[in-house]
Amino acid sequence: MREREHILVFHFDENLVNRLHNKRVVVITSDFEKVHHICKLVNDRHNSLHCLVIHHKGSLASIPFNENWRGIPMAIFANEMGPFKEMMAKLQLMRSLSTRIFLSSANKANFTNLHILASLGIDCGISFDENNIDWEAMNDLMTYAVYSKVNHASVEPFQFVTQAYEPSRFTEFSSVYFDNPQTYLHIDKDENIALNSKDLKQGNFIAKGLDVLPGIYGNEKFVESLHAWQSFFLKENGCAYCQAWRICLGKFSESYDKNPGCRQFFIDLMEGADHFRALQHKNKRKELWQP
Amino acid sequence: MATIIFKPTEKCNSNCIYCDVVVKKQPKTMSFELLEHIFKNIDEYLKAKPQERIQLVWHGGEPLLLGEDYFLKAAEMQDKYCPETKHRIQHAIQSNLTLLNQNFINIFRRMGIDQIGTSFEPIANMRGPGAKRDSLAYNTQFMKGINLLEQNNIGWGFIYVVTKKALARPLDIFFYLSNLKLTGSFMLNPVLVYGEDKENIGITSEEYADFLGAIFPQWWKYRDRYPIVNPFKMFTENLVENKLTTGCEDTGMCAYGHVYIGPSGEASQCGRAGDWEIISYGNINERSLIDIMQDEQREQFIKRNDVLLAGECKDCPFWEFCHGGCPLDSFIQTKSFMHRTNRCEGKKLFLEKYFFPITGIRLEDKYGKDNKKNN
Repeated sequence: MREREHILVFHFDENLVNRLHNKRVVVITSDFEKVHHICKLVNDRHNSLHCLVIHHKGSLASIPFNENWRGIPMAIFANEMGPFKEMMAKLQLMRSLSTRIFLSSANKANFTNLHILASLGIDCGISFDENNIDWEAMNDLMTYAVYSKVNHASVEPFQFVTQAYEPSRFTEFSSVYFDNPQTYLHIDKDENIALNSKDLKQGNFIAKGLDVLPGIYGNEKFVESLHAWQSFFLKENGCAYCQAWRICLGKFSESYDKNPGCRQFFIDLMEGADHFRALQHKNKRKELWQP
Repeated sequence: MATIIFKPTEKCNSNCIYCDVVVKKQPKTMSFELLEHIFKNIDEYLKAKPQERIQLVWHGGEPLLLGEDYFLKAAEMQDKYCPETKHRIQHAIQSNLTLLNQNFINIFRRMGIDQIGTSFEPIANMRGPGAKRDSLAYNTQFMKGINLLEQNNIGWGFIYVVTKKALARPLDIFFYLSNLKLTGSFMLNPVLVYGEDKENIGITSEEYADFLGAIFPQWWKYRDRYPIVNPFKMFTENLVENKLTTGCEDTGMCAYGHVYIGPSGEASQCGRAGDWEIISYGNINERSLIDIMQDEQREQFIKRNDVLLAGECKDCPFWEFCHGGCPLDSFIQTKSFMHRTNRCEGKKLFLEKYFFPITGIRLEDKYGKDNKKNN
């Protein structure tokens, strides 16, 4: 594996940002007022803002989108869309921003809302609430996102899976949510390092201190995490026996017994990924020399 | 290229349900003196045949139980006793990978091994150490083994042995195996039961055909998605690409190409023939490898092709796929090498019931309207 320096993901903490230098970072906040402050602070320390993540407990319509956010890479996680009329008033501005809107699967209406957002040209995605997923609605949204020939913006994680899918390797779509430890590491203000957001929340740390980051590829727990997928192959039943394992990697194993719809959904998504891949091959234009 | 199925040890750290070797109560291991003698013989053989190459397939038991020093010694012996011919010796190894470590890998690299063959079983308590066959312990170690191989860019492929316990869930097993091995290849082989089927694992040819038939539509439809899975790929290549790519048991050409050498130097036709003590070519302590490779008993395997083509397999359109099957299977069933095996029926059934209807490929496409091979 190529040893790339990880992108650090953390909840905004001024002291922590001040201790970082020449890092690529994903900063999480819920305060829209701090957008510019965070960007300035990150840049002042010669860090590079990979993405600013905003968790908003309200509706998309209630977000105070701002022209000054242009050029800032942002991911906004909201609970719902809110009044359509209010959102439409901000549509032109939203389209001009480098923003992806995520809506939660916990609200069933959000599947339709994401359909609408994508059709309006707003890049968007579903954020999974493992205990609340309507897999049929998810499948409908995926079918639209992957197969529809009408122009529309991207819907994640379907866009990522269809583009990254390669039969000879696993497709790890948790990158869409900054949770793939091969690219991202999560860190708290005390410099505890975790493999993903869940582990950070639960206190499952793999190391502590910014100074250990250069040697993280030799960290025993990090190395173990690279092979964590194999634990599914040590069970008698379960996700390893699913044909779509290679694009889901058992992410919904804990809820499978109660809600087994993930299996058919990911089988259909993989079919979509195959379809997209075949199209790419078919449409591949001849390559001419360039002057 | 001549193939030596080389079994320097019968010891094994696993108690696989379908293995013939583990039942031996006093498994033997080859001495260094004999190992040295074999390398001298290989050198003599290759000097006598300047165009020939030898593939030495390390088998067991579990060959890694020999220890790192044993392999190191073998590499040194090859350097010492085969200085002019060593570039014509190719090593391969079959291992269960549970004892693999970096030192082994370093030695294997020195021996030119860049691929390791193994086998795997997801169903619990089929493979593993002890009377209860602790498959969790076994598979955990196996996973560590494949991680090491992949870290070191050493290829691996495996055989899955289809037993009665697998018949209820062919697609589950296929998905599991193809998830574990996204690239490269694996093979679905029927279990071979010699003697009494104490574990009740044996399957009929029809059951094997139906097992393959349950998987084949998925593999065929999405074959760009899956690794090379045999026998599917072999049948496809044979029919569509006119490649003769059958396994050793179906080539009809094993007569002078294979030899088995066991831990005491005993020589036989191949691993199965040695394990089942079906045919003996004497002992390499008493005969040279050149003599063993020319043993007159081998001629019966050549003659078998003529006998079958004139009799039981006459006009069979599937001759090229099986050549009457493995002569050893014939011997087990009939106490004679001169019959086709009942495995042929399984292959024929799979091709007729599943392969041809699903692929739309026809035998006529290969042989013409009369469906016969032009011999």
